[in-house]
Amino acid sequence: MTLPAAAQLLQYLISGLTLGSVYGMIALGFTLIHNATGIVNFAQGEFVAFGALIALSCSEAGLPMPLAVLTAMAAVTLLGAALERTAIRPARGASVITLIIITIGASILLRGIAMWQWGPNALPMRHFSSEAPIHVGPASILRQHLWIMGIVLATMLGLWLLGERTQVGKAMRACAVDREAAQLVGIPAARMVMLSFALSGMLGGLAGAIVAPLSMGQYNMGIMLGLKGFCAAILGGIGNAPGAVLGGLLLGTLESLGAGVCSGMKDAVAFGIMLIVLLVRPTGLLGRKARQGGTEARR
Amino acid sequence: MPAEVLLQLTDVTKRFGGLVAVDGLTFGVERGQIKAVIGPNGAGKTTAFNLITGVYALDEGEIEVAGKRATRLPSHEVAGLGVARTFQNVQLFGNMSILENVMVGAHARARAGLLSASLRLPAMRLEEVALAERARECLRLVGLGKLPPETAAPSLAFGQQRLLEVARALAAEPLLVLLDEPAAGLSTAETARLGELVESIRELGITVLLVDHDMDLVMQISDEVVVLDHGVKIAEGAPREVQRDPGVIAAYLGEEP
Amino acid sequence: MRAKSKRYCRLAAVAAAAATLPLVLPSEYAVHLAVVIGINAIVALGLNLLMGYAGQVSLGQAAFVGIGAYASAILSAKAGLSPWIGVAAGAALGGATAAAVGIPLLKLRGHYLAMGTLGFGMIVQIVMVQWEDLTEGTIGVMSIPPLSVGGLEFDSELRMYYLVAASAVLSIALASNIIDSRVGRAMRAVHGSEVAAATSGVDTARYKLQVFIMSGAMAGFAGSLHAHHAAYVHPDSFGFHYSIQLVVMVVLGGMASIWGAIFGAGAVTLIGEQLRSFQEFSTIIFGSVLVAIMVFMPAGLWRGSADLIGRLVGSRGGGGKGRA
Repeated sequence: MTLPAAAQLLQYLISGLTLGSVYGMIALGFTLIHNATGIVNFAQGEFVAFGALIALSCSEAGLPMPLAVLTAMAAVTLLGAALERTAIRPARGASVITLIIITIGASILLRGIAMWQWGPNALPMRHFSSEAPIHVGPASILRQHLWIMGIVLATMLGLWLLGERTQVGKAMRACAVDREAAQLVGIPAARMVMLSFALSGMLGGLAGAIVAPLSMGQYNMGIMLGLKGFCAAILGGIGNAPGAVLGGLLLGTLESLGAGVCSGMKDAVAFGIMLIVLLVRPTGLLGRKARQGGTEARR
Repeated sequence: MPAEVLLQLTDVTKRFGGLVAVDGLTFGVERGQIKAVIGPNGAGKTTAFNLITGVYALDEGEIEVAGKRATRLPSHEVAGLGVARTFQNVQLFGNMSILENVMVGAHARARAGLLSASLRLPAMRLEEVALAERARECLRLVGLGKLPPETAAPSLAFGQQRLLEVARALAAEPLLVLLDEPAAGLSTAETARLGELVESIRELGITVLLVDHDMDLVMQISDEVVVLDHGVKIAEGAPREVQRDPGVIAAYLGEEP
Repeated sequence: MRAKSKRYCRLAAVAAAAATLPLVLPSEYAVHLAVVIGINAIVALGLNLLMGYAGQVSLGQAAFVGIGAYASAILSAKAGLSPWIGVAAGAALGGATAAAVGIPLLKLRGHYLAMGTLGFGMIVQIVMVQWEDLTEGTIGVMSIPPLSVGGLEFDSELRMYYLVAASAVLSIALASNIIDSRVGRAMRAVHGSEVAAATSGVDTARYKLQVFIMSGAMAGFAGSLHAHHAAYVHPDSFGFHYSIQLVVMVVLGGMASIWGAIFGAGAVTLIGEQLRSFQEFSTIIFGSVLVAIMVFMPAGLWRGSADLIGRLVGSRGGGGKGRA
């Protein structure tokens, strides 16, 4: 029995927004690191994968769900910091290509570790609460969808508070706006860099833990999720936190609708959007228009 | 016989956000002149150079080179009109030898494209020989002729790197050469040699527009001086006159005129 | 001229080495590997021109290889045309696609260009999978006929080896000619200082595009050779993983070095083969080695080792030059 068009639309919208909020968190991870260092962290997707795998292992081992998720978050936070210490810090000042390859190498390494520990197959994870769907008119929404959207919302709020009310958060924002000026007023840039990696790890890990019940956990799930998270960051305007979230939501929705039209091209939607944004307005939807004579994106 | 105006800026204005870097700048450079642009830090001198050479696009005004419109032209086309320049922060091609650096200066004077390069056609080979010879000549002119041509550019001493940039600019056989703070970081002896070099450039028939902070050098070699302050021209004329201009003195000393 | 005769000598030496190599290879499989290395070397050479000399990044080079491979496969296996037409089409399509994509993409720089090329590469792979009428999708195109001249078919590893080796030597000669020319200097100038290149009269956009097209054409050409070597093409071969391998080949060899690119192609291909036996550890090893090399020897293994040797030797006599 097929659903009427409006119901189908609603269904796509729900899954689109849910996935989009996950993309938004991943995009935020990219943005944090890019703001602090100017680097694009290709290993961001692997943070998500590890978050998912660690969470599901903990849950399988009998840990209550909240603890499993927190453990995953903590572990990947440490992973992010470790990545920064071992691979990024020693290579400071290297060229763009070198840095890109370092994070690509790190992502390959992490994927290898994931496959070694968890094997090549997709592993299931229990939903946070009941798997019974809730009916919203003719469409249905899973409780996990609500968990995802709720947790992402709470995280965004938490980050906002961090940025507005705490010293550390304000320091990070200062770095994002102008790294040199921030250093001049005594903000320790090196520590900010590590913090940004740690925070990105936390966000990625959390994203993985909350999406795994729907998508399953697999050693290579990070590739696509990471790339699409990056597309979302570009769409919203890299360097811009609300932009990352907006970009994620938009991308998730468009992708979901696109999949409804032609399921094979679903992945192409994200990359296509990214290309269009890069070519038409590289600063993204909410990004600042780049200054002339100092442009990063364009000549 | 009226002097030919090689470079003419008219009402040139450039803004960066809220900051007006150059405001209604108007001045000209005549063929055969050595003209200097001076002013306190932040006066807009390098911005003016960047506007002339197409590195920035101006917001208002017009720029003409030898009577041809140069407003908002991309840099390589401005070079094609006969303008060459050096940079305040030396911009060498660190991945090439000193000979190759200078040969790039003559890029617009040569023609060999991808096809003749891949196949090493005879016409291309002849051109390469001519280009290399011209480059060696320019190196000799600036005083770097004794160095082996394959010397890696980054291995030169700072003063020599500046001279290399001048050689590269000369390779283009330009009508006008823009020297952006050529004396910065040079010793007294090197600065004196630079002054002689600028004179010999003029003797080659090339017009010179320079920006510098070294007042002795500027007053000694320039025919005319333009003084900028906060993006506005506050004086123009022979070095002696400008030196005595109260507005100029105030600008440098920070007093109200 | 001294530099020129040195170059011709080196080229002749390499050609001679390439010609005699099969005699010392222990098995047909080794010859097969040599063919693969040769094909990768041609792609790496083009990418090296783009990345090492012109200073641009491409994380989607596999797409051009794939376009060349599929062009040749489809024209010869499905449309029945001569494989040589396929090869010509592969190179031409590789170049044409690079032109079409390069015009907008090359306005970007740094990370943005990298991501743009990455996105392009992903989309091409998706199209390869989805456009089943043309590409047979995930089944792939099979029974691709071998190249032939007169009655002689290039259907054995040895024969393909000579064809590929000759193509590789030719590509080296071409690349080397370009680098030491007005065009090459213009490209390198763009890498050295884009603003100084522009004010010296170099139309930077034009040269970036030219070298991008060249790299696309070379990749397409190599892709066609692959199609007629493997007799089978499949979308999986032309994805992100291969694009990264190609970048690693160029970087490992040291960016602005033709011989470095050849070395890189050989190293990555052989290491890939060796790692197969490690199964699960292969990616761990590859990833860690990659990070380690980029952190400690960003000038690449070729240049890095040369520098290292130069420094060790130079500490006795005069200064070591450390040039490849």
